[in-house]
Amino acid sequence: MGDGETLGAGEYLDRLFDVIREEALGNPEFAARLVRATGGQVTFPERDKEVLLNPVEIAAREGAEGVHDQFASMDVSTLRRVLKAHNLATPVDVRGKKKEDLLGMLSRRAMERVAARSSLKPD
Amino acid sequence: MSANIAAIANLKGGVGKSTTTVMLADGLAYCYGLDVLVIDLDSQANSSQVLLTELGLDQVADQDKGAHELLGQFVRGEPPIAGPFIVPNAVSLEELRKAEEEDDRKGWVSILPSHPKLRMAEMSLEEDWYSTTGTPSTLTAALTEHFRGAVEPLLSLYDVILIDCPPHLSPLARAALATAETFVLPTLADPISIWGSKQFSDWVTEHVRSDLADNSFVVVTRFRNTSLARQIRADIQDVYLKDRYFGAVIPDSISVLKAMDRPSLDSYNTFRGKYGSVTADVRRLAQRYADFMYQRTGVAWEMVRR
Repeated sequence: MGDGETLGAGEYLDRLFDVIREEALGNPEFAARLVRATGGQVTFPERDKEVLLNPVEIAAREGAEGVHDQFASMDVSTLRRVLKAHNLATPVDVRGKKKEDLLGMLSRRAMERVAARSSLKPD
Repeated sequence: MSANIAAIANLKGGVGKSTTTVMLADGLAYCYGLDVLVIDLDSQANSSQVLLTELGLDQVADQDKGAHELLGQFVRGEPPIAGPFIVPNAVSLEELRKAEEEDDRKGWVSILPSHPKLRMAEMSLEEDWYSTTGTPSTLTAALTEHFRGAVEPLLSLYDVILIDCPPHLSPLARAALATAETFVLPTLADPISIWGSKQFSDWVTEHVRSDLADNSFVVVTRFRNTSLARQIRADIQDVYLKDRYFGAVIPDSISVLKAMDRPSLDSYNTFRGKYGSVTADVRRLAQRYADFMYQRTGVAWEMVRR
């Protein structure tokens, strides 16, 4: 915008939302936060799931089955990375494990984490 | 084998007592192949949580294991027996687990865990005791006798007993201090912490153990290598806690936080994997403690792993 140029409110907002949209398209984590803030359900492209899906959060929301379903499409090396990234397993724990074992470990330990760390809520 | 009993203590909270306890337990078991028993008397149960995980802690409490059961025994007037309340396996290091599996145990960690219900039990006991003719001193003396009686049969079963004390001077904490032979004093290199450490050291010397200074092993924890921290550390060593034995310095590091978060009760990690960038610091802590003990007992522990 040059010196002295003035814009209407709509144009300012268009520019603002353009920047947010651009950022969201290039930054899926930011996009997921934005959509969640509006209460929407986020669907993740397969390539972004590793970074964006939090197994503990899914366990709290959808239970062990939800964790299993969300991560079932991942291969063994990605599952290992997810388990380690969320401190649900050590390199020793995941060594030599098959996909189903890793999925089971992910679901069980994410549920354990939720059970151990959730504050009590009155009924 | 006659275990050395060390109390890990400081009046101030948040100085790294539980972190030091766990690091020392792992370091001594790993490097020297020692059988270590951790007795957690802090009702915040942090070292129990670290070794057994939060869920594990509830599981063992449901199995009637823990320091609160030992206190219950005292309340009921029963003879002191700690064995049934100990969790014999609190190992999280893969090397120790593997050696055990191969029937070649070299180093082990067991725990008499704590639980938040310990504080409630102690408060209830204090209320009852003081409502008659009892005083804090008589309760401390009675608890010390019970505690010593409970620990006595354990001395032949372990090499080292580490008591993680609560951050106050309750009768139970004083009983632990009265039972210990050596004192591990973790402190931060900041003005408030070193003042607190001095107060604690002076009070305990005057009221509980006059030999505290000669048997103290000071550990500076969460150390940030700044000029202020270095100056304060020098003050601790040369002025505040002069003539004490100084152990390793534990740096402020994300690796320490990660090491204190065991993923699950069936999760294991290698020594290096668990401690990451502070592995050498944990090893040094164990080595310094071994040197400290050698000076006192003349017994040199042999290093079995590096």
